[in-house]
Amino acid sequence: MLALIPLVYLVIRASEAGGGQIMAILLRERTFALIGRSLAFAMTVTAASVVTGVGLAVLVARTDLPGRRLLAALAPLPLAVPSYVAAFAWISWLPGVSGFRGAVLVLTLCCYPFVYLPVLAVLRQSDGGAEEVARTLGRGPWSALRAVTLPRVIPAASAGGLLVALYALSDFGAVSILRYDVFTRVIHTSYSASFDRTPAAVLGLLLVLITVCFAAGERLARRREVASVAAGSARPPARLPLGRNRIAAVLATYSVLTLALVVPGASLLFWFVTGLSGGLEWDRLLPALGATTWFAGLGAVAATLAAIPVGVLAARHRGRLATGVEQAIWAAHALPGLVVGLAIVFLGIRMLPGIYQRTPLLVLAYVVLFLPAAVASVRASVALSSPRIEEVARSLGARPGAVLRRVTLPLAAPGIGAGAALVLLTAMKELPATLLLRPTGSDTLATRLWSHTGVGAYAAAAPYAILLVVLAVLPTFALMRLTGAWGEAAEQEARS
Amino acid sequence: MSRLEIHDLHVDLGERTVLAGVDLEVESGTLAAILGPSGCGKTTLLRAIAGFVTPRRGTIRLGARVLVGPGQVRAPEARGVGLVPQEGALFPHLDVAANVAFGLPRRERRSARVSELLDLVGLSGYERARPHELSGGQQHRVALARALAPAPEMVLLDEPFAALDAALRGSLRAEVRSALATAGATALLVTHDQDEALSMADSVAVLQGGRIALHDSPVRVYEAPTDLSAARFLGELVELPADLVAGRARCALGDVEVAVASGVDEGPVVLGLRPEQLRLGVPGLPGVGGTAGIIRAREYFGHDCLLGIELPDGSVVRARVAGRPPLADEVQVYVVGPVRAYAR
Repeated sequence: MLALIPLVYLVIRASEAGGGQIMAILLRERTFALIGRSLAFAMTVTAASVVTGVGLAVLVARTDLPGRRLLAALAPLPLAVPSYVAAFAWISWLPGVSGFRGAVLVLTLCCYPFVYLPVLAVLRQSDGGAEEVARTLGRGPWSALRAVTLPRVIPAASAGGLLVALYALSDFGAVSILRYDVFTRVIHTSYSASFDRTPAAVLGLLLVLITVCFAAGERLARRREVASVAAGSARPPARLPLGRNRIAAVLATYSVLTLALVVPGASLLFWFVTGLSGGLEWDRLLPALGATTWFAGLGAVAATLAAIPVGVLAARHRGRLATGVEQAIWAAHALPGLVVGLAIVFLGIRMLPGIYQRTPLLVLAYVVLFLPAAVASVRASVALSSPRIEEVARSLGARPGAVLRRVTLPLAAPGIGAGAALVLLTAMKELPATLLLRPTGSDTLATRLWSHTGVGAYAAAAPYAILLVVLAVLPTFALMRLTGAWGEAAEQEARS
Repeated sequence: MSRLEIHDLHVDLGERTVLAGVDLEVESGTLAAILGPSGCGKTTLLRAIAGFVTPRRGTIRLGARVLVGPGQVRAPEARGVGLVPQEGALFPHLDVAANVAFGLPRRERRSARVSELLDLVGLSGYERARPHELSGGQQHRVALARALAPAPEMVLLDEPFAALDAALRGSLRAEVRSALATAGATALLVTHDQDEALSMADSVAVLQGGRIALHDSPVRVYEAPTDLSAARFLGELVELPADLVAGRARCALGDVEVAVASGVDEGPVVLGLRPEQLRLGVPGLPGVGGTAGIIRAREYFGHDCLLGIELPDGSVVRARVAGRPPLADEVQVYVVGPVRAYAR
């Protein structure tokens, strides 16, 4: 329930303004234009990501594309680049990359792995038998792929696509750096530029409404995916020859990778080296790193502690209460970081003035933002061990609390620890809520990057960007290992 | 060490009634086997005794204590009922000694009790081993030691040998039997394996249709079952239609004496006898009786052989004999031992 308190408070804050003012804000022509622009932006990014992600996955998993192992290793990496870092890298090098086209380009390059990874997983699991049957019924290799296998990746692709849409709607840093006015940027401008913060609250709620709809769609799509993939696999299907299109396919894939990895990397390095001549600002860099670690560490510990009861409950009791709690948390998952930050600002000013712009309030924001991830990891690690083991413990005389302490948690500890580490690293990259709530006088890596970029001090911003990428690469590697996006590739090569 | 009494136990799982009026008594210090086909509710009965499912109705008493009764349900940890689950379910994060000590009060965890129990199950010296380093049979023995450690009044064993290979199963049965006897615990063993139930238990109960169809000593449940469908489940059964007149039945095997008739005195009945109650002789010897038959089918198992013998009226009976008689041989069939009659 903690997760939803800020949201409830945002509703209260907005409704205090009275129906008339709310309607006035909602019915402004600017608001309609904003909704249209945000949705068009999210749709375009989603469409581009689906095309890129599905295309890359098919090329990697099902064709004889040269260098596909290298491609398989590199393609998921853009996940590791926070979108605002990518945006900084692009605009600092090519100032023309801004507005709608720039924002679509940068976000697509950051988001396509959300589609690529699940589609790749489905393609790798799919059984070659079905396509072989289609071949014996008179289809060519590509026609068989299109008719038999591609329909099976649709659920995975649409689930990934909805995730992209959610990301594009919630993203704040990249669109702001690229100066494209969608919801998040307008909310931030209206929050920081005027005394009347009602419009920010109302627009924030409107954005939440849209993202919750998208998140519900994502949940539905995921349920379908589970149902349709469960068929299991027998034999990997044959790779299809690209023939004369080989060169075009190679060019296309490597230009995607160049845009997604080489350009931002080169830009960051360029500015970093440029900045080196003026000397690194160690006296700022180190405190920022320390503050980042401290805040994110507190957030990770708090979120994990809060997640333990919910996660155990969700793993062990499929009752109505557990489902309800879980769904409340998933609803919170759809909240953009900016809106959570905003809600907690309001909450802090009114209810908890003692801790406004102090550490506990920022930690609270992290808990709200990262509780879903922490719950998921607790739940998955608890579900790994058999409930029989807990029953044996009870039959030996241990009360439920003692069973939790002596059996359930020790068994789940490694998984919960890994989940906490993931939350820590994700929290270190968080920008919008940190920007609004960081304690007075302290700066994190993300906020330093933000303020340097804001005034065009690109060379000064580069070290922060590089540190953030390094931090972000770690959880991406963990994810790769978990999803087997790398291991399976090598294994499959060895078999073929 | 107490007597278990279950009376009129009803258990629903979701919409389905799994147990519908189970009555069962297990004498103090004995091992009872619950035998039944998969899905008959054996495991549910065990879980109701251990406290992991709550019955809709009925009472469960253990010694002087009521575990489940009208208006009261004891928590699993307060029942004094040890559990040995199917897969052993050792705590994977603890070593063998810590597993066995889990249920002991804190001050006793370092006492000699742990090594005493490991001694009992033949695993002395394994105190520091981790569960994954043990073989399947060793894991089960640790699970048994762990269940016995707090000296529970009763131990429940849920198909404990199902996952093991045949050779290991045989030796482990004997070890578990003797460990339980040494500990003197009342025990309930759930299984779908007739051999296991008959060879290990002091009494065997057959659970069918959510009730106990039959509960008696192994010899009596096998040789003189009072219920026809339970008799079928306990092992191969030869069934012959017959006419019962004054304690003798006329059937395809001639006139046979009926030892016990369940609920019938006269008229049409079904005779039930075990295949090893049919003996074969050389045909044509005068003055011995028996019925002529021809061997029509044969399944050879090594230690014995199951024959299908066609009788003069065209019906086929199954006989278990030693050796491997030739097919199409003419034989003389005799009946030995008690024959039971069931209402038709």
